[in-house]
Amino acid sequence: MPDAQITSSRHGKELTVDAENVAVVDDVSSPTSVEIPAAVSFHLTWKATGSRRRLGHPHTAVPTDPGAFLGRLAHAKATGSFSGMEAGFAFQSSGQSTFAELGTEQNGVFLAPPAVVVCRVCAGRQVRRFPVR
Amino acid sequence: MKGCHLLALVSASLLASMVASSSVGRAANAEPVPIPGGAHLFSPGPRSRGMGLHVEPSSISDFQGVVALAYLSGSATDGESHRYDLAVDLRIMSGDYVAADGSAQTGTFSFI
Repeated sequence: MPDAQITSSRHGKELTVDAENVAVVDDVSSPTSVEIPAAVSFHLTWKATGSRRRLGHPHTAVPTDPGAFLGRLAHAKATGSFSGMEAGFAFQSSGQSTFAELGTEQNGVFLAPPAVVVCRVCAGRQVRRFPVR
Repeated sequence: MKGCHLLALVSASLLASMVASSSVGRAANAEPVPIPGGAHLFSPGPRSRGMGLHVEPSSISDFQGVVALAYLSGSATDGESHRYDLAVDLRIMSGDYVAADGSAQTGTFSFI
């Protein structure tokens, strides 16, 4: 997606995406995996409705845990339209989201490793201390 | 059967691999890697609609940047003019990531 199709404003509290006839692959997983060429268009604007909250459990979760990320996300309203078409099927949506969120996050290698400090009382044993953000 | 068809559509996971202009022309193995655990993603949201709020919204791993998620409702029509209710899960991820080949990349992706 060209960068010009995404615009952010109000210090990251608003995001607009305009994409027209983007070629995609519909990966239909049921009952068997089939990939179907399709095209989608969407023109959506996210507007944060509250302040950002720190979400996730970046240092306590195993990589496969749903909380293995560090997010700074706000509840949002997304408005606009979405449409798509593939062989024998068309779909569209317009109006407002039933749930939306907007913000930033980091996961995987971008999660800062916990600081390692030496605890003198513990006779040199390494103690992990998690940074406070 | 319409319900089954709709379920198939909703769970179809239209994976829009939309690459940012800054990454045009890169090798195929410079694509992002999915979040750990296999081909899947999590569903953030209040318990009535998702798995809770402390839940990963991104579908790609080794990523840092802007994320936007929206659950939308709408309708779908098949080739025989049958109409269905439609639920859309649309996510945008725009920022830095480490690609499958280990290189640092910047790009924008959408999961629908």
